[in-house]
Amino acid sequence: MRSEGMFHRDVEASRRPFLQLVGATGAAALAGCFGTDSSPSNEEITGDEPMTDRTFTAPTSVLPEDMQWNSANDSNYPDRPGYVVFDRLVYFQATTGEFVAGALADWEVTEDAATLTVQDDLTWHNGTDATADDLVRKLHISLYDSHPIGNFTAVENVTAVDETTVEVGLETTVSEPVFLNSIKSMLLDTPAAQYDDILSELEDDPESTALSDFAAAEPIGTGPFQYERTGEQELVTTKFEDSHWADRVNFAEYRFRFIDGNEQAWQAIRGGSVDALHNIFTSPDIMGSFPNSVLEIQQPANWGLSIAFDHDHKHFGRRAVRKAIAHAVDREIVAENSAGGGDAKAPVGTPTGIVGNFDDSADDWLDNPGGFEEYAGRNTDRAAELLESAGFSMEDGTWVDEDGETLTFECKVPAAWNEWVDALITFNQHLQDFGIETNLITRDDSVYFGQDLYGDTGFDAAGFWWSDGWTYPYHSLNWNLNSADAQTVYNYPTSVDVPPKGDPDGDPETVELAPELEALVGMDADSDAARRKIQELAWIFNYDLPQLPVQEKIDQCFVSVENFKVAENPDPATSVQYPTTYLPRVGKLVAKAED
Amino acid sequence: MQQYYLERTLQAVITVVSVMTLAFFLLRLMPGNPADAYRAELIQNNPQLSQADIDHRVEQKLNVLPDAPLHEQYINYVAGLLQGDLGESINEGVPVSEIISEALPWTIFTMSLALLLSFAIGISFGAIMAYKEGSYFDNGLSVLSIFCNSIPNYIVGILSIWFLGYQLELFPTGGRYSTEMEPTVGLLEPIQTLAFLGDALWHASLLILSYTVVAAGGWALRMRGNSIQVLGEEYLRVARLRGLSERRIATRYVGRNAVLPLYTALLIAIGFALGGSVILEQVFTYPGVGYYMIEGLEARDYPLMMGVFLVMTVAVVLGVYIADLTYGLIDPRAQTRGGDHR
Repeated sequence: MRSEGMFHRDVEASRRPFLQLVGATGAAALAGCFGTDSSPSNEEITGDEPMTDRTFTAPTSVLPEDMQWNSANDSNYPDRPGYVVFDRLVYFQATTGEFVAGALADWEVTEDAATLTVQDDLTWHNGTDATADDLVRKLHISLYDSHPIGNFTAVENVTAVDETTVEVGLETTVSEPVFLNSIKSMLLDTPAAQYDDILSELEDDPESTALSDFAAAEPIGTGPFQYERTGEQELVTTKFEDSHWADRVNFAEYRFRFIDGNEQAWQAIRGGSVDALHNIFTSPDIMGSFPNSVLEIQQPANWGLSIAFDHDHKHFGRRAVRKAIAHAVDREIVAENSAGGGDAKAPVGTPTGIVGNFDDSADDWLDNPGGFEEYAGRNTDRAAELLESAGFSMEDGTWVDEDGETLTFECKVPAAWNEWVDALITFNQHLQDFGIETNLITRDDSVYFGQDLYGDTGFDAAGFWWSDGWTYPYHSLNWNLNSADAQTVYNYPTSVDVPPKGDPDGDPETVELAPELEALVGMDADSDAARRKIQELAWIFNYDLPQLPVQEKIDQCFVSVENFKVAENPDPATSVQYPTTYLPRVGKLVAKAED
Repeated sequence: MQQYYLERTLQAVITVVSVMTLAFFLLRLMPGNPADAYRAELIQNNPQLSQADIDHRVEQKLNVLPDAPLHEQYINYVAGLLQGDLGESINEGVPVSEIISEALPWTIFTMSLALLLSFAIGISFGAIMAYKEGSYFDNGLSVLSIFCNSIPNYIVGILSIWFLGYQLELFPTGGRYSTEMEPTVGLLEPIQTLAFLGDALWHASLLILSYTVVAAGGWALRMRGNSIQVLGEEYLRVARLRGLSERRIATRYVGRNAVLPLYTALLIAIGFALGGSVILEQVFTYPGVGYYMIEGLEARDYPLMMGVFLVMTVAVVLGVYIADLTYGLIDPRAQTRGGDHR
């Protein structure tokens, strides 16, 4: 049993490969070859669609009867249904970089405080009003649960000012996007009826496990659909008429059908037993087997594969080797192979540590993108030049260092993350073509994360990720240059010697990374100072390559328009994570009128 | 004879303890542990979490994870086991016995039905094939039986899901019963009970079919071989000379003697059927004990894996044990030989 999650099973990873293979794999593949298609097309949403009795059905990977609804308890928490039953505080439209209202109607972040305003017509599913006290409870519990917001504030600084307003006193200056990014995954899901006692226990003993031990049998949320019942195969939620979203919801039920595995999910939407797939990597050949009524909706994930180098390694600790590898590998081909020939992986353009490669918006942060090294790939002349300058030479088609030691390494990757494995196969091929001996090692998930990355076994090079899902450049730059992960997973130093920005031949200067990132976190995101600082850090990233970012993932959601109408890309609302859970709220996923 | 029973009982107990001990240590020798598995899950689900946060959550979740030396853990486990305590699932946070008691009836339901069906079909066809030895019927069915018996049951499962589930939509492709169905088993509610059992049977049909098709082939071939051997025995000639009817000879003389050796195999198969459920239950997303075995394996949930493993071991050992103890009762020749031997 497990909880559903952001990158779980139906996204980047396809776990339990053997059993999935023997599961519906063959059946799904075979089934895709059959069927006729006279599918209806999408229709324009007018905004005055009548209420219907229709049911929208989507998958869940948690057995309905085993579900529990405490998001702080990872066992059997149904993530996707949680996004329907509970409201997020804010929703983030990735393509516009805009935060929009959720349980919060408004917010303001100043130098020393963040003021959060709860929607004034917010109602819990048990009929009680959701107020500022409820938000305070949520924030307090989150702080006791080590939520990242604890980087800026503490329990005693979070107080209700009035019925709908909460003030969060900030202990460090933090810009609005950094603050909002830190709360964007937060749900208003801790009603007094279930969590008052838990909060009291945490106040008495912050080390108490009362929160993680609690398993709520039924959820009390504020979302547009409320829990009705669970059956063997389905969770049934029904429209909550007192929801502040209710006016825009025109279908009666939102059901979640238990579907365990990608192949079953694909088959389910082919066969029409579900109306949507929330988020699932699907290659073009599989998409080709879907009925025409199934629409793909893409969202940038702001997350993707990189190659992490062990900076304590004899060879990878040397910048020239990392740069040579970056020049030798063609990221476009790697990304294309990783996506099975589709467009669900955007190759990283110029590696700067800034996300936004799906639409080149990463370059918008740079005044002079051309001033950064592009590392275009398959540039073996430049790669050879770099290695030779570092004392390497080519012997019998293989690079050796000044001691005659072959430049060789193992590249580890989690075995069940098929797309990563595909990417790394191409990556290795390019390096082998260039004369660097590489060996791809696929590892069990738990061994890979528990021992190779975060344990004592370590690695020479490994598939990792260069952004942590957040968009503002501070987050990805901090992740790569200054995080605990950077220092412990790939042993990145706390300071680096780099030439001045835009002058690769200039005299190197030592840059202490932590103070640079700390300075950025407090700067107004729209200010020139923040932009300059971001560019300086991007330069360091580009020049030193703490990791080699390879690709950026694009989430794929699928909706059948057989009985529903849905907004399509590029509507900004479709770029909210898990659009199947957000679009109904804003009237952009509505039922067609019944016959 | 008493000593025979005693020795068999002792053998069974020693087998269970040995297998349990081996499993206990082998599971812990697997690469990765519950903390690693949980860390992997957290990272996949929450890429925004810092390493410190992940450490904290792993620690909170697994604060019950014993850090005592392995031999101490083993002693504690055995001590708990002797008191009927299978431990608590690390991943689920509920007692393993609760998970097993909820899942086991479903596995028993499907596997026992599948086993009985395959046995009945297998011995029926096997006997007919033996009687028609050398005929087209015999040759054809022999080839078919070998073919069926050679295919892994999960391949039959995939094909049946595809054809009967997805293409013809005759059967559900997963789950134990319909969402709308209220699980009801009670003498006072016969209609609801029948409806529920019918629905459960409908959901289990493809799983049962997958096991049955494969296993029936094996039973048929064995029965055919045994029957042909019996048909060549002198006492059948005597029976015919005595003027006994062919029907009586077929059922009382041939059938009974040919099926006797299969009795032991059937009892052993009961145990192995539980083990065989592991992959089939995954294929059909059928939450029985086999399904939870894989769940436990993925999460390196030692108590859950041990609990399911123990149930399967006990089932196999019990099957062999009962076969040992009772074979003499249904076949007095074995009893005599056993007695003589002792």
